[in-house]
Formats: sequence, C-alpha cells, structure tokens
Amino acid sequence: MGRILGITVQAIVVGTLLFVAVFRLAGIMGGARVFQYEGF
Amino acid sequence: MDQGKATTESAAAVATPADATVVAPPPKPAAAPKAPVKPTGAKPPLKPGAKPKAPPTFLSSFIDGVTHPTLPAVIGTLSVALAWFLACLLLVTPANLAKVDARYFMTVPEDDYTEVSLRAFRIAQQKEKPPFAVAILGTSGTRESIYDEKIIEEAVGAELKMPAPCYFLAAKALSLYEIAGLMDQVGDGFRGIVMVHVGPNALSDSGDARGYLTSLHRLAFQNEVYDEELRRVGLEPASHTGNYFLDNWRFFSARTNADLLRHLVFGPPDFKRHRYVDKPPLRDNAVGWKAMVKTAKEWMNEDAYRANRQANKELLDRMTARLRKNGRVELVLVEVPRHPELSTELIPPALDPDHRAFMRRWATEPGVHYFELDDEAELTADDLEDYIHLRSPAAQVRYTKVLAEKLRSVAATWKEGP
Repeated sequence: MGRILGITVQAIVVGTLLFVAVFRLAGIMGGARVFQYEGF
Repeated sequence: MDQGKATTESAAAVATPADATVVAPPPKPAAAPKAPVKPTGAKPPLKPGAKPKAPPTFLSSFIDGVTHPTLPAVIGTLSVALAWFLACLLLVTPANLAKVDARYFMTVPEDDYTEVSLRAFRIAQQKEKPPFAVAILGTSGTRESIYDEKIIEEAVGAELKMPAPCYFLAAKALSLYEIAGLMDQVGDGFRGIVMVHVGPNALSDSGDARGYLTSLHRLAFQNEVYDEELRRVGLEPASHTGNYFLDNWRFFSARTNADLLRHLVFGPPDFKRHRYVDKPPLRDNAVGWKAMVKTAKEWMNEDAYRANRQANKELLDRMTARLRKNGRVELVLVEVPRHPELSTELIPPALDPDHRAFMRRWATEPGVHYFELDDEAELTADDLEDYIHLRSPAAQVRYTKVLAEKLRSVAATWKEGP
C-alpha cells in the first residue's frame, strides 16, 4: 500500500512538473513573453 | 646392515598384511541429473550469527515508490500531464478567469494587459448590465492621469442619481485596434460614455510599426472586431481553433514561471497603478531627459499623422456605432496631457493647430465630445515626469476632477433624452 501511494505521489509531482515544463518551453519557443514597455 | 633390511621388511609387513587383497573400489555410478529446484519461497537459511532482515515498513515502501522509476509511475506521470492539459482546455475560459484575481498572473510588476483583460471578462460576465457606465481607455498617459476612477463614478452618479460604474481599461501603449477589441470584449449591453485619450501620436498609428501586435499577444483574448481592425491595416490576425485556451495559450505560457507559483503559495503581489509618483524627476537626469525627448520626437511622425488620422477616426467611429446597437453611447475624446515645455518641441508647429481643428470638427458630430483639460487642470512642468506621464498625485487629483466634471456634463445630456 505504501509503495502504491509512493508511486501515485511520484506520478502527480513529476506529471505536474512535466506539464509545466513543456508548456513553458513551448511558449519560449513560440515567442511568448509579457509585454514590457520599452520606452521611458 | 641386515637389521636395517629386516626393519624395512617388517614395516612393510605391518602396512600391508601378507594375506590382504587390494581391491579397486567399484566405479561410482553416474550421478543422475538434478531436477531444477523450484523456489519454494523459503528463504535460504541464515548464516550462523546473521540477524534476520526486518519486514519493510509503510514509510520505507512509500519512499521506495516515490524515488524509484517504475512502469506504473511512468504511465501515471504521463496521465497526470495529460490531465492538466485537458483541465486547461476545459477550465481556462473567460467566464472562469473573470472570477480570478488578475494579480496572480502578474509575474512582471507592470502587467497592465492582464489587469484590463480580466476586467473586460468581469464586465462581460455581469448578468445585468448597468443602464449607464463609463469606460476609460488609453495608454500609460491615461493610467497616470486618473487618480482614482471613483472620483468619476461619484460625479457622474450624482448627476444621474444612479450608480454609474467606471471601468478603467487603460494599458501602456494600448493601440486603437486593441481599444476596439476591448470594447467588443466588454460585451453587449454597454451603454454610457466611452472616453478615449487621444493625441497626434495615437492618431498617426497604422499597423504594427513597433511589432507589439503581431509578435506579442498582449491581451488575453482575440475577437472578431480586433481581427477585423487588424486586417484593415494589412495585419494577419492569429489563427483560431475555437478553444479559448488553445487560442490564447501564449498569454498564459508567458506568465507560467516561478513567480506564478510564489503567488499561488504566498498570495498575489500588490499592483501599483501609478508608476511615476515615486520616481525622481527625469528632468534631474540630463542624459535620460535628452533620450526621452529624442524618442518622443521619433514617434511623432507628421506625415504618418496626416496619412492615418482619418482612418483612425473611422476606427473609433466604427467602435461607437457597434456599441450604439445596445443603446445610447457617447464618445468622449480627451486630449492627452502634454508637458508644457515640450509640447512645441515634440509636435511640429504646423501640425498642432491642424490637429486641434480636426478634433473640434469631429466633436461636432452627434454623440461625440472633445475636451482639452491641461489648462483647466493647471498642469505645470513639475507635474509631469516626461512628455505625457503625470508624476504628482495632486496633479492627478486635479486632472481627474476636471475630467469628472466634463463627463458629468455629458451625462447631463443623457437625462435630456437621446
């Protein structure tokens, strides 16, 4: 039971990090950035 | 000598008796092949002195499950990642974003576009639209001019004797195309006053000279009006899939970073609307001042102004006409604040009177008003950080009160009927 719970926690944590990393990387490669004023 | 020989012979007689027969041992039979030993589950016997291993605890099993890669863990990981993606497809919608505090997404300090996008969603989600509202639209010059939109709400509400919410929808470098898109996003049912800060710079824009519109996704939405206005100036709008998250994923991807996690854990940051009140005067920095004047001069293109002002006037007229399908809408055009010492330097002398005359002619059309507030608000050189941004809270209050009175006078015509 403990091992199953451990596998579940691993899947949730790593799966979340995987989604965030892929989402962010896709944005970086697609030129996504927040507009920051370049004037004065 | 003979004794030695006899000793040897007697020793041999002891070792091998005379009647013994040496028989070779029988050949051993061939060993039968051993059958494979099936594991019975029985543990091999412990070596003498060794202690038996303790059974795994819950914690050790848990740690083992967490830290070791296994096939079920890989399948689970991919499933969780897919689940997050599906959740975003289904749950990241304007209706849900309208309930979210925009500050959570502000992973850079001055994220005006998140603020105005989510505010537009909130306005659009109102079940009952107010019978009269005021929308304030413009650039950072507008943001720094309006001290607090409550001043406008109170003045207009007192005139109409009913609540008159004021929607602040100004963002740095906001284009007229995005202004039209914002008012379309605000939704059906908007009635009241649309106030737009304009000046020669705003009316000279055409297309995407600075690359803000096509390379960045500044607003958290796209809509038909915004797309149409982009096409009119030769720009290609972004493609649409029909799913909000897929159409605007870049907006959210750009804001997915460690700051977002920090906001989710520790709470959203403060959003500072006025950014110049705490700055030291730019005038004290000779190099910075010179650079600002140079930049502002480059932006003010007289030829572009004359070529594009009519098209930009028509853009705002189209926006107003669309809104008027809901009911009465008054377009109030307010000249942007100007630094009194820079005005003549930045705006070509022949252009300014021509521009003011153009605006006053525009204001003769039904439902259109034009105001120039700088003199009435008594703006001085010390009140402005640069050519357009107010830095003095007292000046912001004066300017907002003067603006509120002008909007109140427009609202008064509302009572008189359409």
